[in-house]
Amino acid sequence: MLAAAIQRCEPDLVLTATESSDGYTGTVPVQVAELLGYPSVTFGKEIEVADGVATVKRQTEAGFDQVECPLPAVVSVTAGVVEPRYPSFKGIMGAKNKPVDQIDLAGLGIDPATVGWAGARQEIIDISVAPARDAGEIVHDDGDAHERILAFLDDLKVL
Amino acid sequence: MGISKIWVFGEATEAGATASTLELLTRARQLADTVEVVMSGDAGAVAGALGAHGATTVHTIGVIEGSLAGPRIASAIAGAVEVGTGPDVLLCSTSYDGRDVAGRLSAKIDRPVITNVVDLIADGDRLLGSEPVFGGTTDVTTGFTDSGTAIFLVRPKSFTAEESGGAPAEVVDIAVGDLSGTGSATVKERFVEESSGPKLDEATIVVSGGRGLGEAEKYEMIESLAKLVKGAPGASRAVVDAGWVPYSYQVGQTGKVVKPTVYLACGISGATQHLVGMKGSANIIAINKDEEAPIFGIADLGIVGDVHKVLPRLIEALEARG
Repeated sequence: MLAAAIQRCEPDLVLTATESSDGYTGTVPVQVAELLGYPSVTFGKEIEVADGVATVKRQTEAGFDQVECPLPAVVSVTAGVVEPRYPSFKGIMGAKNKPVDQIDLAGLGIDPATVGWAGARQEIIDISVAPARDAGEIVHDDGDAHERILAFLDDLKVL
Repeated sequence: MGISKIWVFGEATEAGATASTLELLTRARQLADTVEVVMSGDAGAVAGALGAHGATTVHTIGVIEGSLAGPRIASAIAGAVEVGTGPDVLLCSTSYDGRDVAGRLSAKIDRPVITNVVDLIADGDRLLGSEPVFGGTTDVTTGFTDSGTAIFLVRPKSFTAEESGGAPAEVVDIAVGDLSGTGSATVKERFVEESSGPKLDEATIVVSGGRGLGEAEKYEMIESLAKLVKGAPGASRAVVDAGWVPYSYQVGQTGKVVKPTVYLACGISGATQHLVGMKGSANIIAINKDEEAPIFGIADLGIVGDVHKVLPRLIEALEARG
């Protein structure tokens, strides 16, 4: 659905976050890119766009890669990529009047049986509360709490 | 066994196959008759380790210096699926490339993905995934309802890697199909971030800092302490969002999952999303001014105190030991 809706706009650049904080799937950005036939760069920690090319610092296990990607493209960005701006009063008032284009599945030419829960082709077998971890000892610092920490670490023989 | 063939998306560096790759192979061989690896790069260099953990064949697209793995590996797997030589199940780690591969393949062959998996369970001729949701407070078990390649994205450290004593895997080439522009991103240069000391997800001790430190300069205490205990520094998301440290320091649901022998949480309140990243630690020590902080609910040793007092004293005491 997202790909179809995005395609209508014919964007040069699609920016996304890396994952949601409820399902943590993290696959939507590249799935959308594949459906649109766009290249993608994920986990961008910095991005610049000029002359039809996105230059992205892509997070890696070892550090980062300097990646160049021709537009149109999908780029997903990580926390800390920019300092967020605060909305101005003018911006907030202006937002109230901006048009919101509502489209439905029929408008996108999508068969409802292929999307949403019907199209998911997955089932939930079980839902259970995760086992909890118990608390240990709690100590108030009277100036020597650091000694407690050292003793704890010494006992574990990790120092 | 119920499942005929599992493929693992393999990753390797100069240091060898990644821990996640070996973890997935270990679990895969307990669940399927045949386990194989699909990867890019010098497969020959890791064929021994992959074989020792249960892979009989490694399908490689070759060295792809300058390109991203995601679209290429996905294309290769899709090609195999199309001619009937693909796997019943594909396991990818939730690494940066692993997610690219799973997402691209999912759209290519019209198969959904079960993600964020921490356990795989056999159920007849299909696999079920177990995933933590809602910040790790609830476990959900999910399965696919129809046939076709089952794609799972698995979190690191869900399983323990163990050798089976298998012979080196046979290396075979697998072709990348037509990418039609989806693979046009190019890697211009690779930068390795200088870090002396152990990697965050391998360190015996992790010293982690949160918003309770107050300001960016105070994070230096975390770095100093980590160095003194030969551990790795970590951070909560709040501190990464604030720009004090890079995203690679982040521990939590949207950062790294760590299971060190000791996790020392300094000025971290213990939001569920952070706990998901560290509650598997063997021992947890927490320092926080607020005795109601959720972190104290799981700490083995909880210090109710000011990090600005406790940490300097701890650092001084360790320096005195020499």
